[in-house]
Amino acid sequence: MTFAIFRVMLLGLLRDRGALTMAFVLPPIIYLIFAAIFASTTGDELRLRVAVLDEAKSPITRRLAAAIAAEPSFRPPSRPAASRADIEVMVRSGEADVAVLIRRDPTEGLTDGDAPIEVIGDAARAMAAPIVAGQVQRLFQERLPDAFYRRALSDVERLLIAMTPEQKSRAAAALEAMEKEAAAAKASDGGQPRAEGRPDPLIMRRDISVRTSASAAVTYYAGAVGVLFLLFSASQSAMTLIDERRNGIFDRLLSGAGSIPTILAGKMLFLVTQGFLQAALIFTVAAVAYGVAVWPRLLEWTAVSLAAASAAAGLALALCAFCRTRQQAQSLSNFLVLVLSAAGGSMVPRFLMPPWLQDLGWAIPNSWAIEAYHGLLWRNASAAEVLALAALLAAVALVAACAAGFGLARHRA
Amino acid sequence: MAGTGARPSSSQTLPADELDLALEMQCKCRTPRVEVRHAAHSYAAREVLADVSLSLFAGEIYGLLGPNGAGKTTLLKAVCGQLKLARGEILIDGRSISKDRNAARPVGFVPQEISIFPHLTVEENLHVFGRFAGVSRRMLRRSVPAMLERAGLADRAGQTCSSLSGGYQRRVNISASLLNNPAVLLLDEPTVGIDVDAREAIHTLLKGLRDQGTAILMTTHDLDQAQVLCDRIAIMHNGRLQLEGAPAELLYATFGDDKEIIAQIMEPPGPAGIAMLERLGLRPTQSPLTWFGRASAERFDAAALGYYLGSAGVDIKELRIREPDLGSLFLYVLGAESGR
Repeated sequence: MTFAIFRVMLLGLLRDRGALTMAFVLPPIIYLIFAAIFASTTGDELRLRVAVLDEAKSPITRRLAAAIAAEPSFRPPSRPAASRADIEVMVRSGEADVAVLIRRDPTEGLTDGDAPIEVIGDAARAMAAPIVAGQVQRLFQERLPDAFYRRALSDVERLLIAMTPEQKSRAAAALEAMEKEAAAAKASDGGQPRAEGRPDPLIMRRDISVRTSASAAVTYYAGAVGVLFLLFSASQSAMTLIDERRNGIFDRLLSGAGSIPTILAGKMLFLVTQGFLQAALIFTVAAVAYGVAVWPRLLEWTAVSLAAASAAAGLALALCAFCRTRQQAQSLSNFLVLVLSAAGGSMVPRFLMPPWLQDLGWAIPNSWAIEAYHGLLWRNASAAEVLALAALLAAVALVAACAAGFGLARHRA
Repeated sequence: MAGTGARPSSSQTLPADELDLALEMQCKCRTPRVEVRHAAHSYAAREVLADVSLSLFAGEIYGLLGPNGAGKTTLLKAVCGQLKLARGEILIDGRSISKDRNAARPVGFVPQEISIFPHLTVEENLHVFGRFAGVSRRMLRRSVPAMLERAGLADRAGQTCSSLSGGYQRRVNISASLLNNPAVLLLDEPTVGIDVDAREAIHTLLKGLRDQGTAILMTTHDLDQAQVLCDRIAIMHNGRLQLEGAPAELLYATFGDDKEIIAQIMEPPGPAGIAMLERLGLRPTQSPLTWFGRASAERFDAAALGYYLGSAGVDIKELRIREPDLGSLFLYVLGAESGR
């Protein structure tokens, strides 16, 4: 009987093109859209459009403007900036993400308290201006070390100790040599002076993530979009339970050889199979299109996917068991799926959420599934950690299925 | 009159004393397939079954008649085990369904709604419902084509049910409950909303099942159907069986050789008119313009009736005299509440 119910649901899905599209075409498309967006905004492909306007046009500022233009993490806007007013227009209109205005030579007029370089950003792209400011600071230090030390010496004299004429003369000679070195380096290898000609770095960056060809966001959204659609598709398919209850099929099944547990088992089997195939499709797209490394941990991925699909199936059946009409179930499922997905991290990663929402997210099954996938495919989490999250999801499935049984029995009473 | 036992339709031809003897003998010899004993149930404060008792035998069709809300569907649901009675007991082949879950296994139930899967074909529906009823795949390979043939559905076997007419959907609805050859078949309004051809096809199917020994309990609002199809009927009202027996016998017991008189009047009668109508043995229906009664054909005097009613200010539009049928019986038992 379980397989007969499975067959009925399968034929229902295969003969309903809309439902078939919703279940197996829409999820990979939505994933590809999310992945395309986030692959270019948070991964290696983040390249901000930076407009540069050099008002000073001194040798130093020309070198700085050239260094900014050559920086690989920046890209130029479609046209050069014409004036101070023009760069503001470019930023406001989105032609450029950020503009760098070099107002005067950084090595001149050092004590007037006014910064020689201005970074202009828009609040709508709040992260862009600080990123560019930091990068310009780095470029100034690395590519124009002579100018950097000239400013540093000036500060030493102004704030700490005055140099003797002899010291000044030696410093000037050293700075001149440094400038020649930088010019020679620019001519030979694109502007990177020798290590000994640069100041020691203050900050060293180190990535501890497992390196794969996919970015963290692309990997994250495979799980996030997968869970979102597991819930949507499961609740959509589970609504046949309401139709069957209203048109008498449910009673008919129970008056034959059926019982509530066998009916639920048949429906669970179908919904879990549907969910698992859906997850497999999304992760196959992620693996093929973005190189998300699913295969090395396929067994654990299978366990997580089965558990997540079971939890979604159980929750969907419980919802439909307690709702009296399809309309009621539709409204409630939309509400719950959207809220759970938003708070659980399906729409934006949880680390971007305020602390209270991050804490709340831990109580939401979506976040367990997303965390399990992310741990598995990005953080290289241990099998025990991943399987513990899968066990939590399986427990949700069990409790929800029991609730569904109770709801159905209540309707019959 | 509830629970008076089985009375065959052949009773019409027997004298009364021989009929009683024959029925008594028959009841003693036969064991009922279904026995409802003092069934009672309420939905909230509303009593829907009140001490109902009846017996259903193999090879008979038993019709439950009654207005909406009389308790007919509730009784069917109780017999197939879908509803747990507040009081009373139901036995199938001598086994109580409340004590033995498997006792209701021989019962097939055809709900009033078209309870089939609209996206499946006719054949797939029969196959699936056969599996739900516990029939093996091997058996179904033989029984599904046979059922399609028997129900006149063979040429629609590959058609999805959502594209069938109402009559064909009803046939599938009934056939879906027959794959496991139920010894007891319960049907809730099996011919509601279908055309004459489909109705006849369903009648033929049900008669065939009866002749094979299936015990059939059905509810219907179609009194003509009940009269031609049912071996016994019961009229239910307010959760009670008001009358039970073979249609011909009940008609004879109620009307004897009398005819039914239907008086259609021009305007709603005043108090004097009502008093006169009642004095002449006429009773109201739901419509204040339609009154009915009974009279022997020999003694009925239309002219005198018209005269007396006219003197009380009641103008007759139409006066009909006819053989009483179950509709007449229904009116007689339930009066204005029957809705006829």
